Amino acid sequence: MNITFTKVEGNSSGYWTFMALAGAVASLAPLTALYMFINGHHVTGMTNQVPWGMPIVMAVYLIGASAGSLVLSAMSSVFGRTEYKPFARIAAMLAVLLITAALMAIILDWGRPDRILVPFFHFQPRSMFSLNAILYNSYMLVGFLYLVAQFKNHEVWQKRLGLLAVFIAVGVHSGTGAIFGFVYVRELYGSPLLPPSFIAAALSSGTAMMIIVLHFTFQYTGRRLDERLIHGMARLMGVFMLIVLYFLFVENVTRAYAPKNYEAVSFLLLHGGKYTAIFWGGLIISGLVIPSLIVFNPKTSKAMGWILIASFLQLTGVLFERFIIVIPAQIMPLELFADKEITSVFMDGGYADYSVSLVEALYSVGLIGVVVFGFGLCIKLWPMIPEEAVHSSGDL
Amino acid sequence: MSLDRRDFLKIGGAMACGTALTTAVPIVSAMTEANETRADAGNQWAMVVDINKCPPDCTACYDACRKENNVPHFAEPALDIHWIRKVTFKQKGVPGAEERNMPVMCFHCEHPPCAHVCPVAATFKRKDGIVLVDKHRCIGCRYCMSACPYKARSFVSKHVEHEPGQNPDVPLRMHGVVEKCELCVHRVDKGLEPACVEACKAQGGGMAFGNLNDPQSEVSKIVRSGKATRLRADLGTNPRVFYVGI
Amino acid sequence: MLAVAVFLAVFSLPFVYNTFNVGIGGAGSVAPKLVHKKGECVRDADWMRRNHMQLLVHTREDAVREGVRVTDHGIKGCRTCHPNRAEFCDQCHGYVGVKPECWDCHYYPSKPEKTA
Repeated sequence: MNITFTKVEGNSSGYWTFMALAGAVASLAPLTALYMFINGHHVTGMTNQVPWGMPIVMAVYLIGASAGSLVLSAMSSVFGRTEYKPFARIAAMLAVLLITAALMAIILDWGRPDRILVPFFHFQPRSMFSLNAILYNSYMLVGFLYLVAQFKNHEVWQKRLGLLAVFIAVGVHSGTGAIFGFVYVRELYGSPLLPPSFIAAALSSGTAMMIIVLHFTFQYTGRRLDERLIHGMARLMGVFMLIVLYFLFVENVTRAYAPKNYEAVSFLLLHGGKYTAIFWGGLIISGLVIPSLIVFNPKTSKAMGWILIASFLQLTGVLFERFIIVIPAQIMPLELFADKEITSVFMDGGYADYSVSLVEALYSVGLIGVVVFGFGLCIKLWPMIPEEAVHSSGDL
Repeated sequence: MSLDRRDFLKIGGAMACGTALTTAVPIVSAMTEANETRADAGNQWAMVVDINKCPPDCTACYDACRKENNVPHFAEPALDIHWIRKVTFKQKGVPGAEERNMPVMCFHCEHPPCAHVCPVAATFKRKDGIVLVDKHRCIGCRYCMSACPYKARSFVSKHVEHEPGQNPDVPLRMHGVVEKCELCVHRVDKGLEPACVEACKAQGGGMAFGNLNDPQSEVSKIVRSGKATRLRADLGTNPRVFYVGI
Repeated sequence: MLAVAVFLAVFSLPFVYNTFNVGIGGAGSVAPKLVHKKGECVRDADWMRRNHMQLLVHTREDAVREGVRVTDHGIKGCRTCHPNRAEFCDQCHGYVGVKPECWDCHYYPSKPEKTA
């Protein structure tokens, strides 16, 4: 099978409008970061009670989508599913762009982003953050080299680097899950299941993102996309979503079994106000159950419109999942005693509150803008998209 | 001039040594001059708080800490910085349980979770057991705040300005980094007790500070008696702040 | 060609800025003039001019991490002989356009306080 990749011409007014819009949105990220740095973090919704807010949620989310799309890219070269070869470049490029945006999300959220060089000189191997810094950066590099190997059409290196990238992607995800999973003092963080469930959610959100990106890219560049390829990806997404559901079920049931966790689990699942609403409404129902029903129902599983709806729901659902992982654990009060009620001026013993401030919302949107802008630039500069994507075999 | 590999390495090595000698050595030797103090592993600083002696409305230790360490007061309670705070507690699930108070600060754990998660080792444990934040190094990632079981850490989310009446011996709180109780390390190195302990003793309160390794010190006597407990001992962090009367 | 021009323009921005503002010999810069105190510094003046930051940073690391408190070599040591920061640190730093953050937190007034 011979696939011809070509650049987009990028001279139409539509392209320039798209790039201008994306650039404007992308500039929000550095601008809001500068605003946060100059004023201090008191302009955000993050406090001493909830030190990690939306920027960390976004970082984790983008990392997830990145690893998901990389695995999809490696489908053809590593796992032998050659029908996905037309998407290998675009997926690998998105993986690199997304991890770049994720690193940006983390670093610009530091209290002192001006100390960017400090981690290069001081390394503390016991911290998941330091280990992740190595993983993220090597992942970025390997993803880039993998992309180069694809441009050179070097089969052997494509396979080797693809395999290496998949291994590192698993490491990246386990590492990201471990950031929270290793925090043993908070009931809703410490869990050995976080690393694997991170991988599952990464794969499902990565697939969902690829479906949306492919559909609209092929549509607006006037190229032919064989819908059967999308059907296969949608089924794959469905399987990943079921795995996410399973992990969520096991994690919460295990947690709920221990009496000391009654308060934490009932907070998350029953009386947590907006957090409970996001968990059930945003994540379980609209993020996992409805899309699963769509992609496994024979009537809707072959309809492009339905698949797109399922992908959008799943993509936002994983954003809610990341929110649920990062935020509620910090909302829960820390117990100084196992059996005593505590109160203080520092809000000990009480539920904290977190609401996303405008600054953080603009920052998060800006990060997505960075990815979209990079995407638009890359498809103009390099031949990323195939002339047409047709299923290699006659039928599935 | 032609150089073979060996000569090249020799010259390079000599140059590297020369650079090191001219810069590093004089500076290092300066550090070992007279009247030096150095954190000594022979001292393991610890604190004991007898909360039976805490009057309900006493704020001596908190006030002393804010004054000594230039801890500013931010109006929003969620952003305010607390190096030491007053925690009110009562037995859970018992009607009419008595309310009591205790001071809670950084416990300078033997196995500090904050130092374990710090990516740049800005938070570290000194040889004498005091857990410190190197504010010159902290990048403000706030991982330590998630990891601390005792909520001892505060992020400085605003700029703090120099004002008259501040303690010139202690720097101001630095914007964008995470800070916490330092066990008044600047006083301990001078042979003094932390400001909170001094203020508490002046009121006839129950705080004591001393060296756990010294069998004659007040803290090691109380700890040996078995009356002292630690908060969240189940976590295995082994705090160095003990409580009597909980 | 355009890209090179843009790059050069952005790259030379700090030089341009300093030339027209406070940089060495730039408009508005005043040549530093230290008030010489009697007595000796911890190193000779020439060495200090070039390397004082290394002495300070080593003192800082040792003081924070090891508890080594040799005040002569720290900021407090500077203050004993040069009580006025404006006449000391700020002069040269302003002249060369260097803005260390030390004084954001550390106490070193630009006007010496009258001791009561």
